[in-house]
Amino acid sequence: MIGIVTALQIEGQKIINYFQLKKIVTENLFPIFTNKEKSIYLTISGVGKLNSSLASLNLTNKFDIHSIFNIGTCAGSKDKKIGSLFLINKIIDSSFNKEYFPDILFEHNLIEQSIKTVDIPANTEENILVDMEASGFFHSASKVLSLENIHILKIISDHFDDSFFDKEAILNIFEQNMDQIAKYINNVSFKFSNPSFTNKELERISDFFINYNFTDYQKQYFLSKLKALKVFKLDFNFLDTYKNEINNKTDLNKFFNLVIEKCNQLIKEQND
Amino acid sequence: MTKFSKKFSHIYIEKKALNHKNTLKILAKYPKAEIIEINNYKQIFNRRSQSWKSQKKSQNLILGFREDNFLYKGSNVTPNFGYDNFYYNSVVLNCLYDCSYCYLQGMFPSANLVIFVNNEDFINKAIIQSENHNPLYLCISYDSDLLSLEGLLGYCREWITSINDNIIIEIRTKSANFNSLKDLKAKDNVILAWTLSPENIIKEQEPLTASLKARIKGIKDAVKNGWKVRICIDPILCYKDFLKDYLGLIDLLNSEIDLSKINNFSFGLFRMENSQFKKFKTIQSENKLAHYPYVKDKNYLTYDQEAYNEITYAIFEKLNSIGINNELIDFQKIN
Repeated sequence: MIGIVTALQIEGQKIINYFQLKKIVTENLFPIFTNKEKSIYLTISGVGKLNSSLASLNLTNKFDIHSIFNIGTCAGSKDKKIGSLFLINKIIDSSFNKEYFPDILFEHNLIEQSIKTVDIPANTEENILVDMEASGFFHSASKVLSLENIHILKIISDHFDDSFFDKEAILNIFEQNMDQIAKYINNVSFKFSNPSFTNKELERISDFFINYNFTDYQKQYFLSKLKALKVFKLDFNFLDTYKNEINNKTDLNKFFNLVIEKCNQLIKEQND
Repeated sequence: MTKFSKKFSHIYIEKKALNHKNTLKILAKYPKAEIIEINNYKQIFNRRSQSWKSQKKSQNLILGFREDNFLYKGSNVTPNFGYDNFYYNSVVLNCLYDCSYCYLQGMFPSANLVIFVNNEDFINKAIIQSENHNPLYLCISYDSDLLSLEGLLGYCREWITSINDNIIIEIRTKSANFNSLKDLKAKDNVILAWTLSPENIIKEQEPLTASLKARIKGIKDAVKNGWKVRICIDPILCYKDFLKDYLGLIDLLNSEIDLSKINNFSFGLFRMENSQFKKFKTIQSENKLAHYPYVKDKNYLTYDQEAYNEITYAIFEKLNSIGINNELIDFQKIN
């Protein structure tokens, strides 16, 4: 699933329209909009890095997000046009004197830039993009997601002056960049598949666990062996052959070792 | 559609390395790369939540300036070839290749390539160290494959032409890049070591490396030019009929190369330190190698004694039958 975090509703509005997102009415902490068919979730964080940090964690905790985007506005120097869209490759947190580096591994057509995240709105021109969310967003997102799945897109809304507050202008700069933003989101939302169990296999494993009161460690170890069997293209039919009666912990441990040994034997035989 | 960026699309450079001649040389070869300034290579290399698998598909470059740790003592699973003063260095971290069994994926948090641009400082430190440790046996490519990077860096040439006779260096490779050293005169204290595997293993488990044919050509050329050459068949992977493939490889080498001119032969079964194996298993979750029921030998996972006995016996017998004495054969064991 794709997650998008914007600071203000006005920044998210064109994205909401573009992906036909609907508000989830039960979400009170931070507003969340979704199009479940497209597996997209957008949340409005409010201004500032703390809000952005909390909203991104809220989103990733509630939904199975594999790629997350902070999309918003920033201030830029006068040599850069209002409405220019940038992909951020370095974030400098001015108050913590900390630097963050997104992992940009996918091909794209955007211009990359560094950004500085500040705590109060900047009104003195600097030769770097300046925003109020990127560092908080990245700090939290990188706790739960792999770095290449965290993306920051910023559009210049002002040259360190008051034009930021012109709502119509904000809608316009998002409108003019929407195709590029959507294209980027589609291009980079990628997830490696891991060998996981089918529903039928999960049922079978669950049935097996019901009959034997394995410890959590034993269950995890056993699951890793079953994953190994899948990688070796083996089925779990051998589980049906066990009808062992377990009377105590010693019996259980013996039985566990027996089943693990069987898995190992099957793998060795299949190791071609 | 998702497409990974080209190799070295992003180059991160430590401030201290910005104006070094090797930095400028490397940047000239990647004029379109995005340049990002950093304070220390660890800011990129040691980040949390990196994906080895994704980074291998779009490897980026980190240029650093090393100020300490120029030499390391060899570990107990690295072959020391009878030299007590066995050292290695890490002038480059990681490798261009993507071998599925590589221990580096369990050791490093990142698949990005780190190049320390001040190679001259590594050479000088080795020379100073050799004054007290004579001879100093030094692997200059342990956490990488320097010869595969020779076109970009020229580090192997710098080492070969700079060291004194107190230092013996080993350059180990899976490349076919001997041509980049062809004009140099062979030196007695330089060993060029090629790691080989049967062609089916190269195809399945060693993506991006040179083909067996190309590596054999490199060995032949090096031998012809008078270089000392070591052949390493390590790691040996066990599977159904694996012996047939590995003994077939020795037969092929015997038919292509005058093996009497090879300095020595080094073999080793797949082995990996326990904590490295855990990461390896996560990264290579779809690879059979990560799920085989290995045995634990000290703190390493490896094949059982039966496999060890089978392969050592077969290899010694095969090499003896073609006239290679046991003294020339090293079989790596976990000490």
